[in-house]
Amino acid sequence: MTIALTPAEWEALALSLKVAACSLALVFVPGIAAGWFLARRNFPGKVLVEALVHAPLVLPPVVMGYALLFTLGRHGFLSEALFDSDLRLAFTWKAAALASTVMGFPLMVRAVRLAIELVDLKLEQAAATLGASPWRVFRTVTLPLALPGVVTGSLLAFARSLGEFGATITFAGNLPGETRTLPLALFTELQAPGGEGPAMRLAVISIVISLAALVASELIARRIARRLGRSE
Amino acid sequence: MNPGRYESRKMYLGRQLLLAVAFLTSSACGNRAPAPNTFTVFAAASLTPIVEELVRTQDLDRTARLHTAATSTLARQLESGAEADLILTAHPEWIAWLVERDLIEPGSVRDIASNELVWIVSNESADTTSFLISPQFGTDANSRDAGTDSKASLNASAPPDSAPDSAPNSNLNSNLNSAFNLPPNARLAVGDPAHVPLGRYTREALIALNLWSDLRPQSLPTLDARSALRLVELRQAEAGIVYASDATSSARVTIRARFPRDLHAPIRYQAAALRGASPAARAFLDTLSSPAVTPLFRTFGFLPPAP
Amino acid sequence: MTALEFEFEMSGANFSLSASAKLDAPVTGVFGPSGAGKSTFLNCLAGLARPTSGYIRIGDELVFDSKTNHFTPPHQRGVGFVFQDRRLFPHLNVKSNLRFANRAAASESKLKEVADLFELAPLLDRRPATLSGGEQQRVALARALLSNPRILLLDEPLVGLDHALRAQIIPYLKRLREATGVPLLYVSHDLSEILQQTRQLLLIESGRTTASGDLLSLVQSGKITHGNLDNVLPLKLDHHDTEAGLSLLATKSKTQIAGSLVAAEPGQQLHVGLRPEDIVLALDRVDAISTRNQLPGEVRTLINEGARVLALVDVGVELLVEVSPSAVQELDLKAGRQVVCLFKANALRYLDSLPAAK
Repeated sequence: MTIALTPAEWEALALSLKVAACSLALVFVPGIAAGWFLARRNFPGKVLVEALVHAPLVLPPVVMGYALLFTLGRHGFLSEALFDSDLRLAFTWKAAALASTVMGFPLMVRAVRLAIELVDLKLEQAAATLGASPWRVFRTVTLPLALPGVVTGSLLAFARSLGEFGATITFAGNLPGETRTLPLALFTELQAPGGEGPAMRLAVISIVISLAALVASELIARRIARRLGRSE
Repeated sequence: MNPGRYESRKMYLGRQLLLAVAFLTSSACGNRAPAPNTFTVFAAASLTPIVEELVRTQDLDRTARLHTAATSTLARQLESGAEADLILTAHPEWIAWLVERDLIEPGSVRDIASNELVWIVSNESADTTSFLISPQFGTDANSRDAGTDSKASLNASAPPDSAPDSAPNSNLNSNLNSAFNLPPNARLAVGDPAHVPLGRYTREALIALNLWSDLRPQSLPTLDARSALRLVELRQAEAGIVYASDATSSARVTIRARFPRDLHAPIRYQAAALRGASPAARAFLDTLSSPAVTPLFRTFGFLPPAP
Repeated sequence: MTALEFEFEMSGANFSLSASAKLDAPVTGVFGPSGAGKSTFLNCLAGLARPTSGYIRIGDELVFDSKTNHFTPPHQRGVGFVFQDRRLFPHLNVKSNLRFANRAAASESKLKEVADLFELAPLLDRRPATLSGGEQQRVALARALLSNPRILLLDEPLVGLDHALRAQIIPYLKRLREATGVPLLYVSHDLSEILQQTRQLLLIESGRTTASGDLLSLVQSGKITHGNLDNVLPLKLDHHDTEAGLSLLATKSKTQIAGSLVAAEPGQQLHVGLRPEDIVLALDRVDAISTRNQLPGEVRTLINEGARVLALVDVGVELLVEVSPSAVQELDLKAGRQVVCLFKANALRYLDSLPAAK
């Protein structure tokens, strides 16, 4: 087993990182917004919304993949309603990013929500009495104090994206260079005799990336903790 | 550490795990306690319907236990110590792989069926979408160069004495001409040519027809034959190239054309006894390869093994 | 103009508050026991809680009116709030905490001025977690002041501080009062603490505002039924008599009072506490007695509280003196009666300065 990666492995690696980065970008703002909403607002039907948000955590990923196909696939009902069936999304790398986004969303929401619930409401009240609008309170008090949760959520969503398989293969297919991310490449290798070696290499790459992401987030979280003046 | 001991330990653990799984499965299935002459058949997923039917008609419900998955998965499970009596594969390469690992009873390998490639479209598209592949459309003045190319290469690569039992060959010419006139945005579901046997046959056939370079950009490679079928069923791809047997099993797709079998390496379904196979299993193996079951295979869209 | 006028009800799952008053003193002490509803009251004023019904008017602006369903959100009310638990932003240093309040004004000079007023310059780069309780409270006061409030609420500003820290903070409270020029509500469960700031009180008990007005009028009408009454006297330090171990202080009307030695400079203004039960009434001066203070005065009124009677005696300042009902009879106490108030030097409690080290 050599260390140098083959072009196909580079391709899968680069694609995985691109898809993960995009899905993180997609999940970031809505994830924070939904986390805040669930942490700070009560409304009728909240339980239902919570269940819906967390559905991807408990449903088989393939089901989510089919759900995406039925909504945003070639003849999905949203595609037909909004794009006149002209939506060319499924089986592109954007579909892979979207599938990862959907799967990572609950992880982001959960982490952010827990972090925001830990932010003392009294500090937000104090900020309000000092003349800060709700938006400014969120930006300057809530969000900075919930930053560790945002980092954790982002990492989880990113990692989920790197490992996402079922929804991706269903909604985005397994197109080399387009949607064949690391796990799909790994699985593909195992479909033919003699694929064990390459599969092992891909597994090692996955492990290295995941560990790197974990270490990075840990370092960032520590920095933030120091900045927040909390003891570690 | 002694590698042999490690190996046996691994096998032992594997066996324990398998036993646990078997126990859970059998207890979950309740009253179907296995009889003493039970045997286990590992079958490629594409063979599932016919093997189930065979088991039923041969009255083997109580003795034959069927485990189906992709051939690659089955082979790797056997290598890791899974215990079975027979293996039925969709591609000879995995039999060779198992032979290499000395898991196959020597001399037990035999061909049990063959298959052919067909071009399918979704029923809904076939009924409602006129621009999609239709025989009339193929004569359109706008038809691409590929169409004429295919005609030329088809003529060149199809010797008149080939595949006498391939009935659709007669109308192949007009069908293929029109079929391959895929609208520019349409997608063609195919098996992944790099890894999936279906994909490799498809690539070979399309290369022989000089269409591969044209259709490749529109192709949607899937991880197995069934997924290719499903993409057409779900209308995520406008057309697909799948096994005739799979297409026959689906009520939601229409076969538009059949590929001559000599355009690609023969599709070979093989069966073999694994080391230590029980007599009942061997008997079932003989049944599988006897001419008596040929009509049944045909019903399921398979062809008799190539001579 | 009335600084603050309100009449509202607020009911929650396990509490209710009913409040109504018109307040126009520069400083109003909000006095009531713990759990009486003081915090809810303040939250309603600041807009952190929404009353069920009624109205609240700050200055000339109606900030809440259930009739028109009007509710001004807290960030638009201009209500400065110094919280009991300070609520400094842990992720911001002192300077950023101050700047948070002063964003609209955005003037560095104002910020510097207030920082100087509360002597925060050396602390500006520190995080709140590294500050002492007193330092945190000074930051909280400065921050509230910088938010340019129209009214300032101080919720138990001295709670959790020991006597030494209190003595440190109290001068800053005075500076705050002088610097803002806006009406101030000083909330505490400790009457003597309030009386150092003001004699104008709003009483809250068991979820309702029971009365408001001047301390004496409230005492006379028997409204203050809870807690220890206290005489809080603003005195001027005259000189120290180190030989006798005494500091000599004077009221505005030049009445001399002796207390134990205090760490203060002659000429300095001090607040001194003197409990009504620590004062003894006699009809004449008593010679050969250890008490250092014998102040002649005249009984203004008697407040009968049943088990005890409070006599309000004018000795140049008005002192509340606790006596038993039998003593009232024996001494024939009544309005106009000439008496002498006796109390020991060490009955004087220095509220805003430290006793001298022995």
